[in-house]
Amino acid sequence: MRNQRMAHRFRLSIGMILVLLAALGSFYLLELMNRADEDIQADLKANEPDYIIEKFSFVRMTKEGKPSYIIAGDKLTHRPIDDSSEIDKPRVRSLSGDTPPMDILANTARVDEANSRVTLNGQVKIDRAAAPNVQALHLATEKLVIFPDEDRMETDQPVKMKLGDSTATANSMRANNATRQMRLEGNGTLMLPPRAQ
Amino acid sequence: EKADSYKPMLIDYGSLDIDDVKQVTILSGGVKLTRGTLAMTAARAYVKQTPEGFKHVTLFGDGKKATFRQKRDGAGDLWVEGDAERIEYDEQAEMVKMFSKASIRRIEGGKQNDEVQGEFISYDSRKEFFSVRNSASGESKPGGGRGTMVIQPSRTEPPATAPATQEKK
Repeated sequence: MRNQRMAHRFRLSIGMILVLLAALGSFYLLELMNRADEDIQADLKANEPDYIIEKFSFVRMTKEGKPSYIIAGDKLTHRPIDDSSEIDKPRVRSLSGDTPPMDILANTARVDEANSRVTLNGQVKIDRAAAPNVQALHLATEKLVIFPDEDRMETDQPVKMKLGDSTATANSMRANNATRQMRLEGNGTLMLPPRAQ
Repeated sequence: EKADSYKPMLIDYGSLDIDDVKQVTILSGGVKLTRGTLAMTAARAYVKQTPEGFKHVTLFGDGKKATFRQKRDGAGDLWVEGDAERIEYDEQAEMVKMFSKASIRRIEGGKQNDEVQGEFISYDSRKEFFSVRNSASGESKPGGGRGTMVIQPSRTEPPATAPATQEKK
């Protein structure tokens, strides 16, 4: 009888241990799962990019399906934490209305606010070719903020502008590409060369 | 001065609005236009481009007077000065047109030798010739305002002790 009780107790404890191991194992797996989530959260907090595109080109369409802005660049780094993108060597082409396209270059750019704001930084240059009753436009500044949906742009940095043959300087600029109106502020000088007689 | 016609026009402004569609540039916040020796000041200015590509500038005094000043050719320190509520400057004809309560003064060596006031004065800076009309629109209408011209005597009155001798020239 004693041996049977001993054998029974022995089998019982083996079973107990196996169940215990299974329980601990599942705890361990749960722990692993949580940590994985934390890692992703950690990535988010550490602002790790989730995708990087080289030599990219985005085309933004108007409601009628016509291209309105082409944003291209050497490298785009997207960060999920605030859904923003950093662009190296951006090239923006704005095709608005009947004027020739306006090409904008800069060192870097940042797209945020749910892709409704594009901020260009570093040697920003805007060029628009001349056309019948449209004067050629060149503009240089250190920073430019573009709002593609509203088709307007502005800067609070000093601006040097050449429109046709006249040049103007100012401390800030707001331009509405749709209505083709531009406002320069801050004690500038407009230079109108004598017309070549 | 003749040399002014080959100089660029520089306009200092507080702020500048460009309407690319209407090809009008509006400068406000205190405006100072300089072109060689020509200097004009005003509160606001409109710059339009004529079809031939010349600039046409309209300066508004907005309460204050728009002023204009330019050196005249010829020996000595000859200047002409004027002000009015509105001044129009046409780059092609180099005409300065001054509208409503206009006055023009010719200055020699810092001394004013004559002054004309009228509703409308136009000054041709190439020929240095100015004409006065009595209505702000630029044509003389009967019953319009009267212009006045004050010509300073070129000879100063000798001191009272010597009897004043008047020679007729």
